[in-house]
Amino acid sequence: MKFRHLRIICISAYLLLTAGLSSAKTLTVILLANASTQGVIQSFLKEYSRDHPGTDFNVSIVQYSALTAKINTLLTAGEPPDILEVTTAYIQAYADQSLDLAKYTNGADLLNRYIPSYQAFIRSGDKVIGIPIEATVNGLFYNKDLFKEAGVSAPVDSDHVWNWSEFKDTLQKLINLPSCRIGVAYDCSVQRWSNLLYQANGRWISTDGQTILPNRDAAKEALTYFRSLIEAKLVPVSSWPGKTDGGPLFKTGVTAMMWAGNWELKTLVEGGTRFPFATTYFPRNVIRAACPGGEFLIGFRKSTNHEDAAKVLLWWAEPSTIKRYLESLGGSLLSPIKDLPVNYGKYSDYLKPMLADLAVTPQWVAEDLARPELNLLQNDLLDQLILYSTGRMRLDRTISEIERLGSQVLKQKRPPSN
Amino acid sequence: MKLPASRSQSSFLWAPYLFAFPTVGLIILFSLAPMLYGVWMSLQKVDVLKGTSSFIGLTNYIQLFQDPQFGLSIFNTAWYTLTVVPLITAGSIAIAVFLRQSRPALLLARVGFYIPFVLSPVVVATSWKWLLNEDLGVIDGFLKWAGMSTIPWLSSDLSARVSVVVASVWNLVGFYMLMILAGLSQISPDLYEAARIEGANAWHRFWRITLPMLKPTILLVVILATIHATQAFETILLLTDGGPGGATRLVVQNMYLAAFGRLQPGYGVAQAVVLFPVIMFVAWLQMRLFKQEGVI
Repeated sequence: MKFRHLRIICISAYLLLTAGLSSAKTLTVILLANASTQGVIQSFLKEYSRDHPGTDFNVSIVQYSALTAKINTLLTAGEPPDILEVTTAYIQAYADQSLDLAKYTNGADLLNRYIPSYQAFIRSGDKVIGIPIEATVNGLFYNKDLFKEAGVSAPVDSDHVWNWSEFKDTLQKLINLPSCRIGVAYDCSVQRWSNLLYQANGRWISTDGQTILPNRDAAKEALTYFRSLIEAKLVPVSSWPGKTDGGPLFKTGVTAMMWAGNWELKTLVEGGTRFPFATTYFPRNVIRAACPGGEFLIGFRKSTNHEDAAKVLLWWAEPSTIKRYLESLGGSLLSPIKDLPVNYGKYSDYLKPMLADLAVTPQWVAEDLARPELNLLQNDLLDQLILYSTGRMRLDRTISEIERLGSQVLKQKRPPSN
Repeated sequence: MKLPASRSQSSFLWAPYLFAFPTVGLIILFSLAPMLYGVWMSLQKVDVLKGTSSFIGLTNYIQLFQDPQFGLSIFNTAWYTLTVVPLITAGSIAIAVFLRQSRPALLLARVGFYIPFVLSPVVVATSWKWLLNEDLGVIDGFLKWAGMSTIPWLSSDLSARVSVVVASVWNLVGFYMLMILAGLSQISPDLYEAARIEGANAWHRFWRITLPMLKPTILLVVILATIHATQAFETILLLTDGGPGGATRLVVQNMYLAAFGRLQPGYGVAQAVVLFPVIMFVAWLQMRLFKQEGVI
């Protein structure tokens, strides 16, 4: 009799346990391989699981270069992940498939939480397609020792920034030093080059999305100026077209400046440099501008657990969560939320010029960068920029090639007319 | 308990097909069907993100032959293949012949030549990228030290092509060296002994015995190296990213960019469809040449 009771208890316990397990949901999450953020994001997901029993996460890490291949394969197979980490270059590409967070909260309130540049990335028509978890911006780093040796100084406030010509003159003085072998380590990417286009008051795609390089004169000015930097050997060939990352070049101590993203700060500050360095303001041309960037979390409306994914995303969109996340990273990344009192700690001084550049960057810059057509054109545009800047192609030919390639992509993305 | 004759005969007739079925089935499932699907896909305009497609006939192929990037990538692939394959073949034969004896130092050298093959393409490309760096690289640093002019290894078209070939040959030659060593071990020492008695010198022995006896292995090396060359991807992607300005972009990377960069998988597959008969023709030509030589 006792044995029968024991058996009933065991079976009941088993059934309860399996019922509990079957109600637990495991959300698939794909994160970008990034040594400084992936661990912290995972610890926040664990924290969410602890606070919300019944929600678990299966996290995969993908290299940035393999992201589109992976996601497109999953989408084609009808198995999108529940949550995906994406960058500014890709977020709008998945706008149609993404989960509309406005269905789960007040969309306008959610959008207004973010600084204007970041609203452009997460808005698609009436939809709110994701949440920015960190903001990044391009900035200018410089080697203080080399500046001192050359007897030049960097702008210390935003009222006295260099213009393009002054920036080039400063580089010229620096490169004349025997101890300076590289003027400015300038990453070879469309995004990095776009800073110049925007500073010349140009943009890649017109507001109506119909024309590539609507301000042709601005494009010509940016192209010509950049080529002059390469021809004067102020931008090293190992960067353009060699594609060597700016970070390692700057860390050698023989590079005067680096035109890169604020995420380089963590490596430079925590990894240590053998020389003192600081950051300064971007040079101006027609306007002052810097390229905003960042990481976003999005969900997919056809994912298995999209309802739970929406809850996770909205939890992460809370200012308190973002603040804790950014402070857990040590403060090297910026807040995408307006007036969020984040303690940037030891990075505060370095971030000051970048935040100032970001604040004066017009909103249309983010709208232009967020266009999915620009993402599709990345490789073709980079080829053209390299061909012109290294003297392999003439200016008019470069512009017409960019227009030809751009119009093909714009035509491809344009909805068919009836 | 003997089965009736008719049943036994029918089982016998089906038996070969049943035995072949798993292999043939897998080939159909994983090779033939994807290939046919690829041909169908090349005739479609596919929207990967929406999961829709529409028939567009030969539009992708017409666009392909008007695309200067595709023409350039074909030229680059031909250039790469025609330089890498002879260098790998000659290099692997030279190294294998030199290291064929089983002395400890030579065995260690074999390991040294083989190690690059087992390295990850990321390691290979990153190492070469820094060695060849025009501003801070070791090789240009040495040239400067020696009072010579530096070479823009990765930033001029020709030198970038040469750099990619050098890195690829360094990466792959150890693997093919092992194949040649296996071929060498099949040659009877008696032949060399007899030739030596007849007064043949080392060159004659290599030319009259080693090379003819190695021909089947060399054929295999040439075919495999050709396939390897036409599929080259990771090392080049990481070393030059197809640059500068597309000068080292091979067809495979062009396909990848079309399919995953510009999200035009139909256009990407159309390039593969065009490349397929070209590779088949090259393989057929190689087989035919070796057949004429009596190797196979």
